[in-house]
Amino acid sequence: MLCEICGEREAVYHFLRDDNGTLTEHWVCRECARKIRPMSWYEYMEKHADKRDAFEKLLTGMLKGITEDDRPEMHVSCPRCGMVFKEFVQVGKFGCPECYNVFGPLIEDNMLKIQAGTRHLGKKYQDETEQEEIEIPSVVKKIKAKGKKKKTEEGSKSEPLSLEELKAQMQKAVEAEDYEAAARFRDEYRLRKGQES
Amino acid sequence: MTGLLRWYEQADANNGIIISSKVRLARNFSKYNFSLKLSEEASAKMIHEAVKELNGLKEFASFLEYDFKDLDDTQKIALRERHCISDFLLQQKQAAGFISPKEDISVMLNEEDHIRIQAYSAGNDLKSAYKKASEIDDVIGSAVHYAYDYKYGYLTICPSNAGTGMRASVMLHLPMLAAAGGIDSLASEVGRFQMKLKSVGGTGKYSIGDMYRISNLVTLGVSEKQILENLKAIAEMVAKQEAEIQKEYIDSMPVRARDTVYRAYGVLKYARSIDLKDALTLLSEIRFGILNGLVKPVKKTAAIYPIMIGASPANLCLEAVETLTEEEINTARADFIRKNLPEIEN
Repeated sequence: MLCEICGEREAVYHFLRDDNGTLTEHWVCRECARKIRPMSWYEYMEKHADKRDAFEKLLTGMLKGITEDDRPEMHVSCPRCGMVFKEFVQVGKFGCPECYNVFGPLIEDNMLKIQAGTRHLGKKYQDETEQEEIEIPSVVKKIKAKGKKKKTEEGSKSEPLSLEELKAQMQKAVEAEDYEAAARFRDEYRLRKGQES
Repeated sequence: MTGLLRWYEQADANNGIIISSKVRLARNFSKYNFSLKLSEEASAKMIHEAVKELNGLKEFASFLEYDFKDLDDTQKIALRERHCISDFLLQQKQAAGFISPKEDISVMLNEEDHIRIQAYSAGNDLKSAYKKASEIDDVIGSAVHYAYDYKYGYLTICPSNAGTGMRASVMLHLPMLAAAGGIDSLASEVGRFQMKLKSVGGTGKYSIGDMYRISNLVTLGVSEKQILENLKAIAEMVAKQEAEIQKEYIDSMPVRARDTVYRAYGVLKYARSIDLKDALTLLSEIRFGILNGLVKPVKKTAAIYPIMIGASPANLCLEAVETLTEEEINTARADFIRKNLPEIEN
């Protein structure tokens, strides 16, 4: 469509104008748009289009080096949002919180190049303290209780799972898309592993 | 509305080269996918849920609530010019948010991350900016469930924001370093400390009003306290450099330095039409003159920075009934500046 003002150039901007209460539709080219509007919305957007975070580019740039050979991890996908590692390498963005668990280990080395470490040292979210204060003591309590009353009716059910079993449960929960349960197993696994080592 | 500029109103009175301190926190819902894998309908649902939850909190009772559905482009850009919303949010089709009465705290919904909290403090005061942001973060975090991991901290769509999810920054007025061509070397110097120097409000590398922002790049593997302390140290180092050159310039050319400021004042005091570039350049010169005692304002609270914001195009259009032409905006800008320019002793 041609610009309705100069009739020469291609119209690229569309806007509605309020002429004494009636809305009229207009199509104009870039040059004419500049004359009739102070700063068009589109110009503003164009001006800021290149302001992508350079840091992000740095990360994707570094990661792109590893896409050259089509290694098997390129096809690792996130069970929750379906993001494939190859896609992440291209955009430098994750699809969902679960992606951190799935792809985190794959980008650890590159994370270290742009971050000061790979472990959060800042402000803790309430959840973490809750896990420490509420959920975790309950595990300890169960074990203690078990020690006191050796023959409870729960019997083998209250037997704590081994690390291997926890891992299997976690996998099972992920497959069943029960992420809350998976997270619980994961946290317990990490806690227990930490206690053992 | 142009008369209603908030937290930065008195910014110049007691602060020098460091104009403002800002802290931004990125947060996401645990139950929604990140924006990259979130459909438009799901985004709308997320925004709706967040608005509903935050609306019920007493901490937000006095906040201004907005939804992009109800705003026209001028209003959105005006919010951007006043630093209430980000460039990214401005480009979103759907978005909503809350702004505190003083405009120092802003919560953006459906930014790159689901929730972005930002807080400003005037002058060199990262600590109070962080305190404000963190308190609002606690309030929101107890109303909705954040995506958080004990290892990676607050989970964000970009791994470059994970951990603290915090981007802290200071805005500096650097007329002399810019004039002396020191911005490039400064940028690389700042880069060595894993921080970034960026021009504010300009096109490309240089800022029209000589405003620059320094921010942290690293968010994971460091605590908020460390980030804020490092940034503060760098900002003060840069401000010191600028102050030294300013002093050197004034000492070596006292007449010219004073003359430049008075000429800038003269133009702005009588101009009937002025474009943004000229206005910001001249305002920058006057600000430099007031801070260095080259000229004396009649009132002690003379502030130039708010005039720089008020002179931005969309803010000038807010009160207009119709869309203004560029010429009309230049006239409105000259009027606005004449009305608000502090009186200077002769």
